[in-house]
Amino acid sequence: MLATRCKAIVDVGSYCQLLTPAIPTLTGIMLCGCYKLKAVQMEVTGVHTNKMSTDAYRGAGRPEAAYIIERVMDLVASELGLDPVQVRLKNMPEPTEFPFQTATGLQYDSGNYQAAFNKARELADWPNLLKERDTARKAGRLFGIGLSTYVEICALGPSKTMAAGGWEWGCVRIEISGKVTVITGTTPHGQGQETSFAQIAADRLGVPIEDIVVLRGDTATAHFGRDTYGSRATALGGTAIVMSIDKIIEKTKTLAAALLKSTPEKIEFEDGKFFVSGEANNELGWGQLASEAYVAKNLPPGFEPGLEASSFFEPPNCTFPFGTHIVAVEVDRDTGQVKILKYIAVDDCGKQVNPLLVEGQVQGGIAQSIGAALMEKTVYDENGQLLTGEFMDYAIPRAADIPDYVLGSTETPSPSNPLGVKGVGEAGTIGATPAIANAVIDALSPLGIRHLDLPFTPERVWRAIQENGGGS
Amino acid sequence: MIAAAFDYVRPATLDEALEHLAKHGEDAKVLAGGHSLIPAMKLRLSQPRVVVDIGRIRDLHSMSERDGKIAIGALTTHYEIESSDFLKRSCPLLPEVAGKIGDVQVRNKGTIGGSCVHADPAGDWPAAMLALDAEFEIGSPRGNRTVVAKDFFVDMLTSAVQPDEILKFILVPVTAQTTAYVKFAQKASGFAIAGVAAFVDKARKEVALGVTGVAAKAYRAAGVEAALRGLELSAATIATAAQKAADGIDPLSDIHASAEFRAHLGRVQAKRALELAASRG
Repeated sequence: MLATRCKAIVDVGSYCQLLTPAIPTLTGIMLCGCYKLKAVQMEVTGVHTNKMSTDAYRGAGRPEAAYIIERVMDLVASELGLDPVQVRLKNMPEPTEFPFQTATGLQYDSGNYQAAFNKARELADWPNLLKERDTARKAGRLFGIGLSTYVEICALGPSKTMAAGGWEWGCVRIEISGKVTVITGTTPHGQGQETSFAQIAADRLGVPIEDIVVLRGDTATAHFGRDTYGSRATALGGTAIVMSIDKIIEKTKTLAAALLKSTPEKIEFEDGKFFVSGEANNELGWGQLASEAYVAKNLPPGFEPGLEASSFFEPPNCTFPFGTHIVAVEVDRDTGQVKILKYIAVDDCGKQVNPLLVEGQVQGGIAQSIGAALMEKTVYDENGQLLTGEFMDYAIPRAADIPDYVLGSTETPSPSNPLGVKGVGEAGTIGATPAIANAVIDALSPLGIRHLDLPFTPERVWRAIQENGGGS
Repeated sequence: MIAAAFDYVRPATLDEALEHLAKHGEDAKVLAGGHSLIPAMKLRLSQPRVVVDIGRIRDLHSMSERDGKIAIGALTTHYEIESSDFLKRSCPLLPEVAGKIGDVQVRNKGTIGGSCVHADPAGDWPAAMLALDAEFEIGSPRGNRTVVAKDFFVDMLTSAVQPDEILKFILVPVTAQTTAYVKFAQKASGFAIAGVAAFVDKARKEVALGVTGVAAKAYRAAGVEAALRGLELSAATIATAAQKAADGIDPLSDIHASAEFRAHLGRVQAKRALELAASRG
């Protein structure tokens, strides 16, 4: 594939909110997907209507980009009679080509798209899945397999690329007791960074995680911060914490040297202990050093009392997580109802701080995508009156709508921050929708159906089946 | 949303409740489980001046055999029906329908009587009541009267129960296991876009089908029943007969399903309900 040309007419609602025009713009910027396109043309026309204004929603522009390019890959494969797997593999950059410059001006930081793609197909037992589809089709069932490979953009972002500061702030304090207070400028609201930031600090400081308190969300304690959005909190907020810890360790080496009658350059720090190189039995821990730092009776000349540091992290680049999602669906020919039979996802969000939190984000994101792909639809009447104004009319997925997930991951560290993390808050909504869409269209393809618009509500699917002579 | 102001009374006996209704007439509304009335009041679609809470009238909260039939008190909750071993043996359609209503919270509070009197066109119970030829025992200051299911569901959100009356008991027959309820649910609310309750009487070679969700009120699929009368049930006879499940009906149309799709789903669900019921014995 050489190039894409995309024209988007976007219903942006009644007013421009914070990111209203930025979202379709980001779609254009991400339109290369995981592929080595030489050129991209994107024309966006925003149309003001008397509907609700649009703004950022989990994924914010990237799900649209992934949907467009991944539908295109399937259409290309189907038009040319090629295997959708091969079409994708043929157009991916090799791991050695990173950092990879895209036609839209981004520099993808690191990636191994083939590894995630292959692992997902292994977890899906791809050859057998194809056989299962053959068997089902022979029996007259509408069985489809869909895949999507996606790349997204996280850790927003370098200040020069944003309307205002793209940095993040963090502060670390070793209290006089040796226990640790971490203050973050990000504002986790359910993502769980209270845990992952404590893990980062515990690892780097060599203290038990129970000894760490993470504070956030109040400008009385967290004086600076650009917040939690764009899957940036761990990559940027975590790094600001790491930078602060490293400052404290450097400072504490001076104090340890004085107390151990050595020089700072001979002091080593390992596993929460400071010691003179080669004399591991003669060591000082955070408790003793913090006490000395605040009591301040034995400080070396020029040593500022206390053990606290704060940092602003200005990232050199965004991060670019990626992955592959594979879905098997069956469509009920009589009702148009789509049932997800299998869901496999391999996501690479760089280094994982807390795999459980990563999985939670992926699970939730996929669930949201199942809603987007199969049921969520905002309906207005001809006067602009909202008809889906409550959850009795606007369908969102419930637990019973969610299949068992088979989840895997690969870890390709980001060079954009010392933790190597990329971000995972929105991955599920980005990789999943196109995979589900491709699966449903694949299921309907024996009827000659090449495309249907989202969401695949039963009536829409049923009508397509009827119009293509597929009714029972 | 907040309901309009109203007075609240909680009578301890049926007679006392009927007195309140007699006094306030159309200004009063009866509260049972509250799962239809309260949402309607919160949206101010319903603005009664007096709410008569009958929830503590113990007599209406029961399941028992009466003259070879099963009498279910109007205040029996969906969950009590869903989990009743007695009903699973004696009238299994009822627990099956109950288990498909709303969610656990709704089933724990909502009552069979309240749901029937509310007569929501997409409610689940009317389909079963019609298929079972249920009888509704209604109390009023004038005494008791009994209304059969086909006369009970009058129109959209209108049952035969008058403003000064209270539904007391629902009488259903003891049946074989050859019954089934299948529902194509509206995804957001769980209400039926097309729900079909089937009762197959193999000995008499008769079927009864109640259809809900498709039209303004639940109905008996008379065309299907006539087409199968005296026939052995097979995939072929069922499929042919089920085509008549929406005959003569004016199907509803809304944002969730067009009239054409609703009628189609009625036919599909009729076929599936009959197949399932027939397979059970």
